[in-house]
Order: sequence, then structure tokens, then C-alpha cells
Amino acid sequence: MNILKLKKEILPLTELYEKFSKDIFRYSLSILKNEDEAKDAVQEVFVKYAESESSFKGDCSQKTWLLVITRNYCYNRISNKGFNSGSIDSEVLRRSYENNFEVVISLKDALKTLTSEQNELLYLLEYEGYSYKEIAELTAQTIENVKIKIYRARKKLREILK
Amino acid sequence: MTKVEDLEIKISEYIDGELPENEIQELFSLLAENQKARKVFEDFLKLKKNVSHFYSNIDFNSNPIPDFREKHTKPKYKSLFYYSAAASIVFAVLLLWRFSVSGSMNAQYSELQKEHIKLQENYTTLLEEKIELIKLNNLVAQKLSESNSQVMNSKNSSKSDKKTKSKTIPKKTINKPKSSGKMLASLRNVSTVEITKSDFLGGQVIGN
Repeated sequence: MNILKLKKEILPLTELYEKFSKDIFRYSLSILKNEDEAKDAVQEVFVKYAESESSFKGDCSQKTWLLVITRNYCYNRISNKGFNSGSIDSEVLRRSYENNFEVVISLKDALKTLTSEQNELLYLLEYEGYSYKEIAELTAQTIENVKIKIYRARKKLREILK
Repeated sequence: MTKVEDLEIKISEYIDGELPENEIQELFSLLAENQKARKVFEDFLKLKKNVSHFYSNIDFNSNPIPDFREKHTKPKYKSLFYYSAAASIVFAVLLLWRFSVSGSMNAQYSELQKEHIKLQENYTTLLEEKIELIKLNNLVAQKLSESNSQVMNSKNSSKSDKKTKSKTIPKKTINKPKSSGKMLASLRNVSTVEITKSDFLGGQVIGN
């Protein structure tokens, strides 16, 4: 998917919601790591989209615009006080490492051990199918940084799930 | 970064389809020699599939579609409607009040106009009466001066009578006023008393 490709078809808001609300939820979940927060994020993202619809110039796809709004909202939400992220119990992990205590950790829990940024990159890469270049544009960083961060996320997941 | 890490990064790039073509052959030759690197390759490939599968299975109930547009856009129109309705009500009340005030003011104005006309008529009447009074006053003064001069003449004539008896001054017949009291009364009550010709001396009313 070319992030810069112009999408001529502009969907109305209701169709946009039907088509992309699940993706926005998944993207929000990858960053926020909390289902309730992710559900709220979906609502807020589409509200913000509706409010800024007139300023959408069509220089990117509507989905990309939604993802940008989602990213901004989620990271703002994380930086707010009182944000409750769903992180895995660190005590469980510590005991599993120290005592060779066999703890079945699901991929879901393992993903929660990653940072929001690592989760976000894996989501955009594995699920959305974006290239390194597209991810770098969306997240405002270099391709080299994207490459390194993805590798480190995979390495950490591999160690936890081993 | 270590060589092991460099190799693992290249493995990660390759499974994402991001490794340049000129480096792929080198990577395969390294994988052929390194079992651990092959293990990393297999694990990274499994993770890629599992993470993709994980996110695909996440369900989100998007039905019913929430009224987020109504929630955030209707109030704008609603508030506009309420403001405009309130403004129109206020405007209508102001208009009604103005018309009612102007109506009462018109009635007051017409009343004042009528009074003004009445006062003007009264003024005109009084002015006429004043003019009549002045005329009368002038007449009286004239007559008094005439009578005084006659008295003086009669005195003089009595003295000169001894010398020239032939000269006689014709006597004018003077009609004395029937009563001076009536004239005084007429002077006092101009508006109520009729003034006739016979009230003046000699039947001659100067000015008529």
C-alpha cells in the first residue's frame, strides 16, 4: 500500500465507520493495550474526523488520515494522568525467569510487555501490511529507526514466548 | 551492534520483504552455515504470522453505528436554532412594545392638539376683547378730552360774552351718556356687556 497514493473516492462518515472502525480499534489497542480505552478511542477518533472533515485535503487516503488521528489521540491519552494501560503482571514474568516457573504466556500477554511504540510498529507492519517507508512517514521517524525497533520488538517477543 | 545482531536484523528485514536484493544471497549463505541464525529465522517468521493472526481475530462490535456526528454537530445547529428563536421573540416583543407606546403617544398627541386648538381659540377671543377694550379706552379718553376742552371754551366764552354778545358759539347738542356707571361697568365687564352706539357722546362713535 502506498501511503502517498491519492484516493479519489471520499467515503461518507457512516461508510467510513463501517469500513474502518475495526482497524481503528485494533490500532488503538496496539498502542493503548487496553480494550476499554481502545473502544473510547474509536469514538473519539471518528468525532475528531467529523470535526476536521472540512480540512481534509485529500493528499492521503481517508484511512491514513484516520490512522494519524488515532495515533495522535492514543499518545495524548497515554501522556494524560490516570491512564490505565493493560500491562502484564511483571511479577509473573520475573518468577518465570528466575525459577524456571512454567508460565503459559499467551501472545496477547507477550504483546503487552512491549512498549506502545513497538506494538504500534508490529501492528502497522504485520496487520496493515505497510512498508518500512510508509511506517516511517506515518510515525515521523527514519526508516533505519523503524527497522531497528521492529527487530527489537520481535527479539523481545521471542525471548518471552520461548 | 554485534555481528549476531546485524545478522538478525537482516533476517527481520528479509521476512518483511525489505532486504535489498544484492544482500539476499549473502544472507542465505550465512543461514546455511549458522543453525542458530536459522532458528531465529524460523521464530521470526512464526511471530510474523501469529501477530498478524492475532490482530485479525480481534473483534470489535461496530453495530449500531453511534450518533457521534449528531452528538457533536447537532448541538451546533440546535444552539443556533435556539439563539435565533430567542432573538426573534425578543425582537417581536420590542416591536409590539414600540407600537403600543407609539399608539398611546399618538392618542396623547391628538389630545394635546385639541387642547392647543381650544387654547388658541380662547386666546383669539381674549385678544379680540382686548382690542375692543383698547378702542373703548381710547374713545373714552378722547371724549373726556373733548369735554374738558368744551368746559374750558365755555368759561372763556362767558368772559368774552360781556364784550361781544353777538358772537355765539353754536351749541352742539351733546347726548350725555345715559349713565356713566353703565360705562364703568362695561369697562369692568367687557366680555359680558354689549356696547352700543347710543352709549357714546353725540351719537357719534369715532371709528365707526
